[in-house]
Amino acid sequence: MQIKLTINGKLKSLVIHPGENLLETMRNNGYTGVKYGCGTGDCGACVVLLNNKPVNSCQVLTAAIDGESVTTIEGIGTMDKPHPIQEELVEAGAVQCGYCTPGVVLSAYALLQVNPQPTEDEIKTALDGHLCRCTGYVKIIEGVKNAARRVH
Amino acid sequence: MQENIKEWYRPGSVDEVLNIIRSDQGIPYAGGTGLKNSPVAGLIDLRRLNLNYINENSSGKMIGACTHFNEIANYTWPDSRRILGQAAGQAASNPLRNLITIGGSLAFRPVWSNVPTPLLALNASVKAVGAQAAEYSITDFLQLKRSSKFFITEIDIPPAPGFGVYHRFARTRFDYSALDLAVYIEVQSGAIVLCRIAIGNAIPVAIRLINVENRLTGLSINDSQIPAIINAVEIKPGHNPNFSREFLLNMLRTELLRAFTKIREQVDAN
Repeated sequence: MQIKLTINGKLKSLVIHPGENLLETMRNNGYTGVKYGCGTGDCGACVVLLNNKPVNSCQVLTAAIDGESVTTIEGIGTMDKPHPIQEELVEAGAVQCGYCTPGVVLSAYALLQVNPQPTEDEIKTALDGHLCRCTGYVKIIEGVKNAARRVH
Repeated sequence: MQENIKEWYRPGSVDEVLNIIRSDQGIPYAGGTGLKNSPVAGLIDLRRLNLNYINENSSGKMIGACTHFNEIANYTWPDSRRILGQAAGQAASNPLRNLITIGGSLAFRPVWSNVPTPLLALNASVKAVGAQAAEYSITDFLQLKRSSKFFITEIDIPPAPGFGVYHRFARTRFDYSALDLAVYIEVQSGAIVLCRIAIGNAIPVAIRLINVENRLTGLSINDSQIPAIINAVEIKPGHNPNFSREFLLNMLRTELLRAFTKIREQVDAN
């Protein structure tokens, strides 16, 4: 079936299987920054922004969001021009293997869009859907705090 | 990839949805988080029904069935209906709360849903089409079979000017809760005139502790009998691999006592 999605600001016409999930759609169309972690909505590695809100893309059937807007990590920053959130996470030592990082960046991005000066508890709530096996989360929270100060 | 899914329906009315359900052509797809491994071939996209809202009328708040948990959690509830917001805000995770809908949670009653408990304490009602009744009390609704061929459209919650407490017990923020508890009390001149105590997750279907409510109603909020009444609460928790039945029962009694302490503080502050 054919659907239309706005991906990182660009309108795309896609051919998908009716049972295809958004994670598969993104990766099949070159957005490999969206990571497969668990496939069950538990790890947060696959988080994208759907209409500016973080969702687990492995839990969304693509056909259900025909006409909507999706933002992936590729739409937030690039190697040449990283987003301040990405820079601050690296600076804080919040990136080790990097596998959880795209999802974390997107959740942090969404948080700072609606809450420019979040408390630590609000940061933890915004990131509560992300598992990180490497860092122990402390540096991630510190990086988001620093990004909040810098972005606003 | 769910290979079994072959067809998407995009109806523009509730009646169309009902026709598709009754003809076994498909099931509603709201948030989709409860769909895993379902053998269904057809799914019904509910977006055109505009069931994502929180409105107010003279009899209280009306929540559309497709309203997401985060919208409920972030809503500025004017009174003790905020315990529903607290419950929704503690379920699952932030990205999942942007997908999970209140209607889907009531229809499928997955383990991660905490909304039945506060809805019981708030005496909510559930509007459905295709069912024997157009509107069910939440108590009656929770007794319906999950496979029934009806479609939830709205959840209504009357004003709650009294005092409410919600508590959810789990090992971690993201874990399924082992027990959740909602208490709603109205007090006049220091006496409990209305008392609703609901518990969930420790037992298969959320319930109210009617016997306890009856014993507490009429007592002063500071009555010395209250701890004894609470410590005599008995439930039969279902099997939980992480917590013994004795632990869950003690947890319930402890959190009930704490809830009443918090309510006394709220009463005193008023």
